[in-house]
Amino acid sequence: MLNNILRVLFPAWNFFDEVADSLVVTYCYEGSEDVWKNVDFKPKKPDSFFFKPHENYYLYIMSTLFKLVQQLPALKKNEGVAELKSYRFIEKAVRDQIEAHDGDFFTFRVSVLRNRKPQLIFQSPVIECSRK
Amino acid sequence: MQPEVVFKITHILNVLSLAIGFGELLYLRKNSWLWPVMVSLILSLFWPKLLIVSLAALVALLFVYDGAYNGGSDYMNFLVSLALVISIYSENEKVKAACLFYIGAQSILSYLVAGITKLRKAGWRNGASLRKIFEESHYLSPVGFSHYKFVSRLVIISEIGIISGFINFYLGMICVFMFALFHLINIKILKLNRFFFAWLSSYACVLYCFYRV
Repeated sequence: MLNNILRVLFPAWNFFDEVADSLVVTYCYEGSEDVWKNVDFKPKKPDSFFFKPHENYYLYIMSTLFKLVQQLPALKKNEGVAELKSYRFIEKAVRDQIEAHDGDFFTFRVSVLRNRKPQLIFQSPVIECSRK
Repeated sequence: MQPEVVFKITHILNVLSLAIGFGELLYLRKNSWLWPVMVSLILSLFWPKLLIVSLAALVALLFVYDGAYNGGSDYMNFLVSLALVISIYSENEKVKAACLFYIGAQSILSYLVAGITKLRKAGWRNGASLRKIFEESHYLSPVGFSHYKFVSRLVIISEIGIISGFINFYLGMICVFMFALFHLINIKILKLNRFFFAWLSSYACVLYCFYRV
């Protein structure tokens, strides 16, 4: 937390220093692991010009997703991933996006798009759909 | 430029920027504890000391969202609010002036550092990074943009060019006007509305820095 406060007090201001590769999230229900569907976090309709609650929330989801990917290498075989705030937020965001529940449990993957081809970097544990 | 006028303009624009930030979270039915903060924020236009409530809320949001909610715009809102609150609670005229300088210096640094960082990257100099932002990144940008190399270099030159305000005040005014326009265009193409308001709130202090230096 101290890091967060220090980062705000002394911002680096190096916007777009590195333009990161795009991340893609897919999910599937337990028992149908051959059918992976894309999770589309993008707002369903555009906001107004000066007031963009949904578009800024989408940007927050994406920045949290990048944070999760940056935090993963510090974990051994993703052990303790559920303790990460970023993971818990993304898990909830994915669950919120799964509208029609065709199963009781699901898992999601995070892949990075390199040369427009997805490369898997993380697969979540099995998650209960109805858990809120 | 009178410090009192600079303070007043910065305060009004900071309230507008924070109101949009808090308002967006409230619109999404998140953080309902922000309602009384919103009321105190508006009342701070009449009783400036109430701005400390909004500053406390910005710190609380850092805990809630495990860091900034919307990156740079939150940083700028925090810095401007912090400096304004110190200025409001201080009786010392030098401290008040230093607070205005601090806001202006951070805003100038934000452009200068961003420009130098881009200048050092080959991807920015040849337009590849900008192309990647538009064509491959998660930003909600429109498809079909072109002239990446030209626009990249224009952005780099403009950002570093902010220091021209120290040479000539009117050049500084032109820079500030151009950056306001730049952020306005960014709302259209990258949907970064909160950056526009956050940086707008710092511009009176930027001009104050140019004028005094």
